[in-house]
Formats: sequence, C-alpha cells, structure tokens
Amino acid sequence: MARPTPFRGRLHAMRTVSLALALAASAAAQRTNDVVYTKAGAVLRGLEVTVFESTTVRGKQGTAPFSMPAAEVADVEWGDAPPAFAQARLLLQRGEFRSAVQLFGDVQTLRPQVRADALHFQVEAAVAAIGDDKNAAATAARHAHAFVNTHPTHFRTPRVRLLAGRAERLAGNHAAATRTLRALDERGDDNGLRPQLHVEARFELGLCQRDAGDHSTARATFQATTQLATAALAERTAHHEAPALRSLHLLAQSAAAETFLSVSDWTAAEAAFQALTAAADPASRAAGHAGLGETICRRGLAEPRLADLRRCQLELALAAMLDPTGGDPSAKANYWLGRCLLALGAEREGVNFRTRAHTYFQIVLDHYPGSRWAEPAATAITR
Amino acid sequence: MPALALLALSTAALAQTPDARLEGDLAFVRALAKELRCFDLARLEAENLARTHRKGLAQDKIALVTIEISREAARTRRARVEARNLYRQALDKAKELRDRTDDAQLQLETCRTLANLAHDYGQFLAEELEIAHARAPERVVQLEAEASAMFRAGLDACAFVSKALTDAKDENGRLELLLVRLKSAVLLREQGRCDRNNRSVLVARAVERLTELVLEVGEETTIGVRGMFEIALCKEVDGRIDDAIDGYRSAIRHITASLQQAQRGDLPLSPEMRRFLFAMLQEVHARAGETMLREGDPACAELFASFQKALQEFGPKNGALLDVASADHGHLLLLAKAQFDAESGDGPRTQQALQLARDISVRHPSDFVGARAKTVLESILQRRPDLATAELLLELGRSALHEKQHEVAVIALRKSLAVMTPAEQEQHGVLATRLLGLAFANSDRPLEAMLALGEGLHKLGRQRDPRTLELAEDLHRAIAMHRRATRNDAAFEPRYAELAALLAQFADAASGASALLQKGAELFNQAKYRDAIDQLRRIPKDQPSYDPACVLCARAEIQMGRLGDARATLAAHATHRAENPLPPGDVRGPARERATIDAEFLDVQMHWLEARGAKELGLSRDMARYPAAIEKARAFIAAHDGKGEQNLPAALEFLGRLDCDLAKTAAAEQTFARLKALDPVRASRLASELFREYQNQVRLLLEEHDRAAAAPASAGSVPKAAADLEQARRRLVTLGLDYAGISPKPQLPILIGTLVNLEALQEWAHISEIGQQALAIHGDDSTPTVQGNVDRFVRPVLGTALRHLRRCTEAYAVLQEAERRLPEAPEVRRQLCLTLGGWLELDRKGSPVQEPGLDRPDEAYTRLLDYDKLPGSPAAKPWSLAWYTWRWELYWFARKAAAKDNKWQAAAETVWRIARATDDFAALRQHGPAGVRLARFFTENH
Repeated sequence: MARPTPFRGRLHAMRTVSLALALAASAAAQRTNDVVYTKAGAVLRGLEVTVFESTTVRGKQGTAPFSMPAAEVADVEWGDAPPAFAQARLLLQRGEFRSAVQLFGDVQTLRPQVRADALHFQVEAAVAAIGDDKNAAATAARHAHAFVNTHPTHFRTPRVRLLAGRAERLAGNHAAATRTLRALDERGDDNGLRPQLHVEARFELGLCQRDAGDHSTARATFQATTQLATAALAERTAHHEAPALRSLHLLAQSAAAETFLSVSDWTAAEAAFQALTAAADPASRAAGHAGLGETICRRGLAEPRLADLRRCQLELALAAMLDPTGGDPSAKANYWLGRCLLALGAEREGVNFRTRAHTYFQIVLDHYPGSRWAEPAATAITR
Repeated sequence: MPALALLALSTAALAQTPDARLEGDLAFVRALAKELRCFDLARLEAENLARTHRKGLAQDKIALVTIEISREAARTRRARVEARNLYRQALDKAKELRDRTDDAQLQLETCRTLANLAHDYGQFLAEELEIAHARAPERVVQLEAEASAMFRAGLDACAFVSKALTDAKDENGRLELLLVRLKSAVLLREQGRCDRNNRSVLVARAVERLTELVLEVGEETTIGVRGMFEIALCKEVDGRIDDAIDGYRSAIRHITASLQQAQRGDLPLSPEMRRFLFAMLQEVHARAGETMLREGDPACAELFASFQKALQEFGPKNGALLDVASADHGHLLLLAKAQFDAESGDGPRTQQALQLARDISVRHPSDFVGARAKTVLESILQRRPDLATAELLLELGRSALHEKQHEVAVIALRKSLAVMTPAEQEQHGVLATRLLGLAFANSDRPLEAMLALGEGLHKLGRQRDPRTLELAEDLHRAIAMHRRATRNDAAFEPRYAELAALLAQFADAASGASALLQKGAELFNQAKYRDAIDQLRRIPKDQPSYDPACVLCARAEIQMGRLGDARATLAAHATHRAENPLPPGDVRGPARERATIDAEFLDVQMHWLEARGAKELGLSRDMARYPAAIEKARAFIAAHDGKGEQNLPAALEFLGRLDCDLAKTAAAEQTFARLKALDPVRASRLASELFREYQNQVRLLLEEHDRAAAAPASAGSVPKAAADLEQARRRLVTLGLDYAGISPKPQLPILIGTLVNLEALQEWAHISEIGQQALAIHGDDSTPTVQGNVDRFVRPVLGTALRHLRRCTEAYAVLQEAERRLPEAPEVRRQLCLTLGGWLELDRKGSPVQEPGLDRPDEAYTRLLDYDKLPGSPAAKPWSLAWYTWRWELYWFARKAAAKDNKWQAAAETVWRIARATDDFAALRQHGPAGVRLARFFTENH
C-alpha cells in the first residue's frame, strides 16, 4: 500500500458506509418550508401551512400538526413560492407598485395558498399605484371586492376590505367607500379586527369624509382616530404593530389639521399645526413643524415671498431634524424642502439649487417609497 | 459556497525554466503577495522585473505573476466593489494570456491560475447573488450570466490542466490531478446553481465526478471527506435537503473523529493539517447550520451546541468566542445561531442575538459576513423594534454614515437620540448629535445640520467640556456652510443670532481662538494673505489653535513671496515649542504634532522653490541650491515614509522633479514608482517631466547611432549604439505607458512621443492601446494644433499597428479616416493599401508568410499607383529602397489580383520588369539586408 500523503492518508481507522448512504437517492418528497412570523417576534420554520384563515392558521410541522390563532400571526412566507413572488414583494416594498402588480400577476403556482396570497398582494399593489387615476381606482376596487367574495374567510380578507374601501374613495365613490369602511370600523369596535386595521379603517373613513367635502366631520373622525391609536398603543400591543400604530397616530394628527388646508383656511391650519409643535412627543412636534412648513408653502405657491419661503424652510428642516419615526413628517419635510429650493432658485440658493432639490425628492423616493409624498416627488423629478 | 485552500493549484511545483534567476525573483514576488500580503510592493517589484526582462516569454511569466497578485489581493479585499474589480481584471488578463502565449508550460500554469480564479470568483459571485436576491433582484439575471460564463472558463481551464497531468507519474502531479478533478466538479455544481434550466443535469454530472473521486481515494482520506461534503452540497443545490443535511452531519462526524484521534495521539497529523481540518469543520458546521435553520430542522440547537463544543475542544484555549471562531465560516455560523436565538421570540435571547450580530457587524465593516450581519440585525429589529436600544441605533447610524448612506444614518441617529435615557444622553448624546449633523452636512443639507447641532448644544452642552467644544466647532462650521449656501441671506440672521448666543454660553478662549483660526483659513483660501496673517497673529500662545496658526502664517508669507519672513515665523514657532513643551496627554498635543510636521514640510517647500524658481513669487532657478533642496526632501521622506503622512506625495514630487532636472533619471523614476501608488495626479506631473528627459536621451542616442551608421570607420560601434538606443526607447515607452495609465487626462505630446517610440520598437499591441486612448481623449478636440497632431501622428500609426495585429477591418476604418483628413500623406496611403491588399512578411524562423489583409488587391494596386507622386513621398527617388519597396508592393497586389482575374497578370509583369531593370536587382541588394530581403521576395515570387 502506498505511503499515505497528508491528503491521501487515512484520517481515522473507522471505515464507514457513509458514501453508500450519501449516494442513495432520497425517497422522501421535497418538503414545503413555509415560515410563520408571530406577533410576539418568534419565527416558525419548516411548516406546511394548509389553512390560512382570518381565525386560524393550520398545517403541519414535519409530521406533527400545527395550529395557531390567526390573531397571533403577523405574516406568512411561502417556502415554495416562485421567484416572481419574492421579487414582486420587494418591488412593493420599494414603491414600484405598477411593476409589482404586473409581477404578482405573473406568479404561476399550483398551490392555492400561494395563489390567493399573490392575488391579495396584487390588490395591495394596485391600490397603492392608483394615484389620481379614478378608472384604475374603480378597477382596483372591483378586484378587491372580488377577492373578498372569493375568499370570505381568508387571513388577508379584512385587509383587502380596507383596500376596497380605499380604492372606492379614490375612485370618487364616497358612498360605497363609507359603507365599506364603516362596516370595518364597527367590526373593530366589536373587537373583531386587529388594532392596526381598526385604526386604519377609521382613519380611512376620515379621509373619505374629507374627500366628500365634509371637513368638520372628517376632523372629528381624525381626532377619534388619534384617540383610538393612543388606546391601542397603551394596551399590550404586539411589538411589530406599534410602529404602524404610531405612524397612524401621527397621520391622523396631521390629517385633522390638514382639513383646514383643504378649504384654504391657512390661519386655522397654521394654528392647528402650531399647537402640535408644542406637543410633548417629538414625533408630534415634527409633524407640527412639517405641517406648518407645508401650510406656508402652499399659501405662498401663487406668489412666493422670500420671508415666507425661508420660514417654510426652517419649519421643514426642524421636522426633518426631529422626526424619530422616520415616517410621514420626514417624507413631507423632504418633499417640501425640495419644492422650496426650486422656488428660491439660483439667486438665493446657489447654482446647484436644482441638484439639491433633486436630492430631496430622491430621498423621498429611496427612503419613504410607500409614503403619500413618493408620487409627487417622482413627478417633481420628472419635471 | 466553500472556499478551499486545498484546492489552490500550485504553480511552483512543476515549473521548469531556463532562467533560474527570473524564477527566483518571481517566487519572491509571489511570496510577497501570498505570504506577506504586501500587494502594492509585489506589484512594484513585478513592474521592475517587467522593465528589466523584456523578452516575450519573460514578460508573459511576469504577467502571470501579476494576475496571481490581483487574485490574492481580491481574496483579502474587504470592500466588495474593489474585490470585484480585481477579480474581473485578473480573469480577463488570465484569459488573454492563455490565448496569447504559445509556451506550453506557461499555458498550463495560466490555466491553473484561471481555474483557481474561477473558483474564488465563483464563490464571490455566489455571495453577490445572495445579496442581490435580498436587496436588488434586478441584478440577479446579470450576475447569474456572469457567473455562468466564468464557470465555463474555469471548467475549460480545469480540463486543460487535467489533460496535461493525465500522465503525471510523481506524487505531486497525481495529487494535483485529484484536486483539479475535485475543483472541476465543484465548478460544475456551481454552474448548475446559476443555471436553473440545466441544474439537475449539471448537478448530477458533478455528483458523478465527485463519487468517482471519493471511491478512488477512499472516503476516509481528507480529499475523500471533502468530496463527501461537496456531494452533500450538490444535494442541497438539487433541492434534496434531508440528504444534504445527513451528508453534512456525516462530514462533521468524520472530521471530529479525526481531530479527536489526533489529540489523543492515535493519528499523526501535522499542525498545519489540524488547522486545515479545524477550518473545514467550521465550514461544514456553517453550511449545515444555515441550511437547518432555513428548513426549521429541529436538530438545529443541537448543531449549534456541537459547534461551540468543537470550538472549545479544538480551538485556541481561553480566547473570546469571536476570536476562536474563524472570521469567515465561524462567524457565519454564529450569525445563524444569533438568528436562531432571535427567532425563538424570547426577549433575553433576542437581546443576546442582537449583541452578537452587532459585534460581528463591527468586525466586518464591508465584507460578505458584514452584509449578512446587517441583514440579520435588520430582520430582528423589524420583528422586535422595541429592542432597538439607543446604543445599537447609534452604531447602525455610524455604520451607515461610514458607507455614505446618509438618510439611513439620519433615520437611525434621530431614533437613537429620541430613545436615549438621561444616562445614555450623557454618554452618547454628543456623539449621536455630531454624527447626525455630519450626515446632514455630507448630504448637502446645511440648514438641517445647523439646527441639529444647535439643538444638541442647547440640550447637551456642558461648560469646560472637550466634547462640547467639539460640538461647538461643528456648529460653527455648519453655520458657515449654511451662510455660503444661502448667500448670507438676512432672513436667517435671527436664527444665526440665537445660535451665536448659544455658542457664546460655551465659548471660552479655545473656541474664540478656533474661530480666529477658521477665519484666518477662510481669508487664506480667498488669497487675502495679509488679512489672514492679521487674524492668525491674534491667537494666544496657550491655545491649541496657536500651533496650526503659526504654520498657516508661514504659508501665507510663502504665497506672498516673503520666504525670509516665513522662515522667521517658523523659527519663532520652533523656539516656542522648545521653550514650552507640552505634558503627555495635553489637549494641544495633536495640533502641535501636526503643526511640527507641516513646518518641516514648509521648509522642504521653500528649498524647492528657491532651487527651481517660481515666476509668480519672483524667484529664479538656482542650480547651486539643488543639493540642499534634494537633501531636505530626502530627509522629510525618510522621516515620514510609510506613516500615511499627507505631505509625503508633494515631497516625493519635489524630489523627483529636482532629480529630473539634474538628469538623474533612474532616481527620478524610482520616486515616480513610489508616487504612483500615493498620488496619481502628482505622479503624472512628474512622469511628464521625466518623459521629456527620456525623449532628450533618445534623441541624442539616435543622433549617435545615425552618425556611427553613416561613417564606415565607426561601423563597429553601430550594434552597441543600436542596443543603447533600444534600451532608451524601452525606458521611455514604459514610462509613457505608465503615465497613460495613471493620468486623468494624458497630454497628447507624451502620447505621441510614446507612440513614435513604440513604432520604432514594433510594439503593435501597445500602440493600439495608446493610440485608441489618444483618439478617445483628444480625437474630438477641435483645436487646430491638436487636430493636426492627431491626424499626422496618431491615426496613421494606430492604423499601422492594427494592421500588424491583423485587425484589418479596424485598421481600414482608422486609415480611411486618416486619409480623409490628410489625403496626400504618403505613409497613410501606403498603409491603407497594405491593409486592403495584404502583404508578405517573414516569421520568426525566417519563413515567408502571406497576410491577405482585406483581400482587395485590385483596389490596393490602383490606389498605390501614384504613391511616388504624393508630396514628400520617399518613393519619389528612383532606385531608392523606398522606391523598390513601392514597386514590390505594387507587384504583390497585381499578382494577388491576377489570381482572381487574369487581366492583372500584365500589370504584375510590367512592375516586375521595371524593378528588375537591367541589373537583375543588383542595385536593390546594395541597400543592405532590407534590400537583399526584398530582392529575395521579388525572385522567389515570380
């Protein structure tokens, strides 16, 4: 026998049959590896989810049965979803809604759970992509209702109902939107909805009332929304929902003051936002400063005055500096800071004012892609 | 995908070359790169070797070593963009070398290197793909295509090496053959990973090869265990996860058993082998851990426990966990464990997981492990945002700022400040505020920066606190930046006044002095030197700002041409330093140290100015001052070399230019080589001066050569003169090529000088490179002089080079454009016709070789017919060598055309008869070897 070299020599005296075992093809079928994310922050892997409903999530973990109340489940990731599904979700996160709609539509799978979830996300993306297009809104609303009708007990159905209401609002169909959203709100009152969805439904209702021109009712609804969000946060809310609830709280605070903007009551808007800047919570102060900045900007759009523009910049910069949530106040502030620079021009802000404005808009697109300021920022860049 | 030192194929083992000294030098350069990781030095040494070994094969061997240096540098490079560039360059050059060289041994070594490169780069691309899947799916397709092409190249290289080693009789050769087979199977599998459509087929093939290999060597050998592990990886790629996990576990058992037996003394393993196996054990654990975690395997916890046990059992004793575990696979497994702990949902375990992921992230600022650590941190914080502590957010903000992700940094730092407890504010508040201000400032948002820093100073400022002073300095700078951005708009005066009042609360002598220094610097930058000096002289001597202010004063005096005053200022400062030494740890220490070095440099600069002169300062050149200036520069460089001193490049430039003026070109070139790595812009300035010096030398040597050639009495000195001339030309073109490579916009005269000498040396490939660069940079310049030079020198010589490189279509395009611009340039016409009609030349063995060009000899003949009538045509003088050459080329075209159409036969005959004349080419043969060769062409091709 040849003298073993370091690499050829036997490592140990034990000959095993591992090679034979290694070469034997596995008879077991390829397993599904779904992942369930719980609201408590745990992640459960190696599952096969067979029931994904609004009351329960069930399936198998290996050979053992698995079951969990839906109220404890934050999300599910499908192990065998085609690559298009994951890519489309990433596009949705990045704010590329139209591409996400297309890609979700291209998802080919034999698994009904994945197919249903792809449909849900397609609706999500379609509603996010509506913008000012009332036809797109009407279409999205129809698809949303179709999903609800076809999947009445699906885990995602309550969310899709909300999306339906939103789409109806954006389509200008306020009556239908109000019906849809009120039904959701009432379910929430009966503890039939998770807190975040309940708050969001109420907020959406307020938006509906605002769009219908009923500003004082909308204001009251927004104020009720902030109280609802505060109450939800005060309870033992799931960790992952807290940021969303805080964000809704801020949005509702801002929306209440913004109702004055809708009727061009600049003084009242300014007063409302000024009151917010005195809040104890830095996030609310940031929202107040951002709102003040927007108010001054909007008022001055027709005839910009230097003093107003500078004041506007100061307020918006304060918002951008203060906002701990990294949410709507920051997105709003960055957008309007860009608009300010364009209004001030080279004489006041130097020859690179346009580049700097572009930078602000790009910040909104890159870091706040899901915010309501992303589309205006994209339009501003194109212009 | 596992990296495997074992799979690195040795290039040294089978090398057999006649030039032992060169081999020794190359081995030294390889060791510099591989063992000592001195990549820049290794590259410099390789460049030196390239300058001194000019033969084709030696050049190729040096090229191979340069490729290996790039590979080693890429493997250790942490910044992914740099690593990727290095890999790509190395791969392209390796392929080029493999195709270019006709030396069998070198081809084999190149293929070895190519196979190793494919393996390493493949691993790198696999990591890039993982990152792309998570963050940028639009890059996936392009990355997969690149990886696939690269694996194919690697497989070809492996096939070549395998074929060459098939009959190897020695142990090293047989071992290497096994390793090549292993590598080839791994590359096949990885190709399958990228190529979804053919995955099963490729993976099955890989398994087959691996199985054959394992059966041949035995599964109990190291190669066998490795093979088993690779088979398990194949199964994972193929989606057979349970089998893969079984395979990993089996490999872990094998390796653990071996290491235990070695520890007991039952198995003789060298320390190197033990280290190798320990590293492999961690690698297998990492692969198994990641897979089991992803699949939710219930035995995951057991695997992590077994890993920690293995670290304790086989790793260095008493080391911290992160130090004992290997930086690559060990840390990856620890990240998987952190993820596993966090996914339990248990609060304390999740906190520990966050801490571990953060510690790993800090250790890996920009490599793949760092990217994975960041992903783990983000995913944990997304599920448990309540666990984001102020310190963690501060760290995330700092890391984002380091990577220039300014808004990400802003978001993290704002949050960090918002959640800080009073104790945390005390500890981290100022730093977080300063970083927030920096993030805003660096992204051109001076208003936000100013407000953030002002808010921070208001909340966190403390009297007589150094950190507060630093914060105040930042605020000063932010205010200045905002004033500049808004053109001192009075609308902000109330806010400036508020901030000024705030600053005044914390102002002390230090901050006042600092403001004076800043003002002085501003005035200096505006070239208001007298005003700057006035400000700077007001700074009290006990302040940290005093030392830099003295130096800045001296600089201002130099700019005003008052060198005497500058020297007096520096001398006074030196006296002050000597009389007022600072105690250790004094806050003025760093500023004084910096000022001392700057003062030294100013002295060097003044000597330089006095020696070389400076018209703008009213100073004339003074050759008598050169020795002192050179001495000063050398002393400064020697004192500060290798310490990252910021003035070093300037001092090197001074020294190089002084040496150049004294025609000490060798010394200047050494300085240039050092300067290249530090400051390419300064290096290109030095190179242009050195180039001019070399051009002078070439001109003188050319004159000498021509004189020797013309005078029969000195015929014996012609070969030496020719050799000296060639050497001088080579020095010049090497410098020219270097200069072209580093200069942001190489000057056209230098490029043309390089081209002219490259043409004399017949270095066609380099001519093509430089010519194309010259056209790209200067081709569209409409300045008449530039255009004229490009038309007269660049295009013609580029076209000629392309023709010689057999790139006739490209040559034709360039020459046609050259002729369009200079319709009556004789040489352009001639080159164009040769490109069209082809030519005859002798190869290295002296055998004639026909080159068809674009195979349009009829057109070539017609266009060359009036060549002798063109203004300045060398063929204008009958019976000269140029005239005979023209006749020969006409004859060749007519002869080639006659092969297609008989009507050209008569034209060919006519030309031949004229050339032969009545003396049967006797006059032609009188023109020396070129004439004899041409006569031979005529006679052998009739």
